[in-house]
Amino acid sequence: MQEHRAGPEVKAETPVQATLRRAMFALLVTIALGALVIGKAEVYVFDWVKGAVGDLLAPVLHAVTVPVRAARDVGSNLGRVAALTEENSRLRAENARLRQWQALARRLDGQNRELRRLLRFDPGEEVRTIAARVIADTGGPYARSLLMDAGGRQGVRPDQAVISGEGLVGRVMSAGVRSARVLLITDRRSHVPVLAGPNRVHAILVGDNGIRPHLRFLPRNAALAPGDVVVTSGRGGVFPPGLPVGDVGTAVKSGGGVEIVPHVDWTRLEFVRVVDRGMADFTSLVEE
Amino acid sequence: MLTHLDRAARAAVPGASIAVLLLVSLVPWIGDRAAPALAVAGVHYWAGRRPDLVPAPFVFAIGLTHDSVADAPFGLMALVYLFVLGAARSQRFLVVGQPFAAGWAVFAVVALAASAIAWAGASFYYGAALSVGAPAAVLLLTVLTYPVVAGVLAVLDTAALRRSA
Repeated sequence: MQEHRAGPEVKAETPVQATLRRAMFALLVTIALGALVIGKAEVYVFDWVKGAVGDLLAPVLHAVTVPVRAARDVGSNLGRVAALTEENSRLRAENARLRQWQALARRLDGQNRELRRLLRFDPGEEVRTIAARVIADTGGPYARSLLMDAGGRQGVRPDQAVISGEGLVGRVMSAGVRSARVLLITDRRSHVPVLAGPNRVHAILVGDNGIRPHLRFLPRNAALAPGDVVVTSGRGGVFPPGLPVGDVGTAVKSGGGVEIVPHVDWTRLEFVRVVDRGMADFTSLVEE
Repeated sequence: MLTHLDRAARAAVPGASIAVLLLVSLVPWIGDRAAPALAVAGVHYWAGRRPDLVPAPFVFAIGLTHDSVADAPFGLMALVYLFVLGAARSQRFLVVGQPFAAGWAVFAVVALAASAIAWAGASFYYGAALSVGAPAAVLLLTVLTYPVVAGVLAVLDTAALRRSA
């Protein structure tokens, strides 16, 4: 193993230079501590700085992300070559099963449209989605959010829901000009009103910076079983109703909440779509 | 003129490499799983080897950039990087000229203390004691990847700085 060799001699400081350096160090530590304390009050200027830095670095992060993802995909694909035949037959079986569900969904969709017509149901505005690439994520322990390469210029605004092909990802927390930050449903600041299980009981999905969020404020008589589906309820107006979120897991968290397994595969989240507000049937969006 | 430019470019190597390490650690490699804090290793390496080329304001700015992109509590990573800088500077004698294992052990202790500061700062910010599982995973990855980071930086060190000395 290599040694930490002695490098070129560092120029000796004069006493004045050393004092100035220490004073600067102490000042910066004080500023950092001050920012941490003041930041608890959700100071707008800090959010603005975060947005501006995100905007500034978006092109660089985008340039770094593309080759890194390509390299990662090559690596993971090589690992899968051996299991390709087995995976192919599994996918064929799954495809056949999904075709049956597709036929059923089409039949129910037609039935639904007919019933809506009979009831003169107003489906609301047309839904528009904005596609974006994930350019930075914070798998770090203190926040669960990601940065995407679409911002105000593309029509992204705070509090819009963000989805992937699998389900709800989170909501737009702040939007810059060409980038926006998405608060994931696993972040401890995330609170999503949801409906759980076949009885559609109301609850709040709360993150804890872990991989699996949990349900809070469940009614005492709520009988949920592992595998029960959780969808957004639409209460509060931030998230449209009907977006698939996840399934009820087996474990119950120490705080008493029920653990949810999100539908989104965080390890393969590359593209997302931002839902421009509307009140139509959002379940169709994630199945497209 | 060219000599000045060449010297300035060489002096920028530590800062540029720390910035690149930060960018690489923020890119979505494996999604929601923990990623090593590569820039912490970078700050520790250069602060021990060439403290004159890693000024505190630069490290502070790197920390705020990390806070901004990673959406960490504003000031948290700036504080952590400053701690690593101060610790590495004061422990230079334990790293420079010593076997690599000694430097690695010193880094592990500094990284552990930095993780504790980050955890305490984040818990204070959110007003609740956060889980220690995820910070522990980040710490483990950071310590395990240190030889690779230090190896790459040592090559840069030799190529860009030693030859100019």
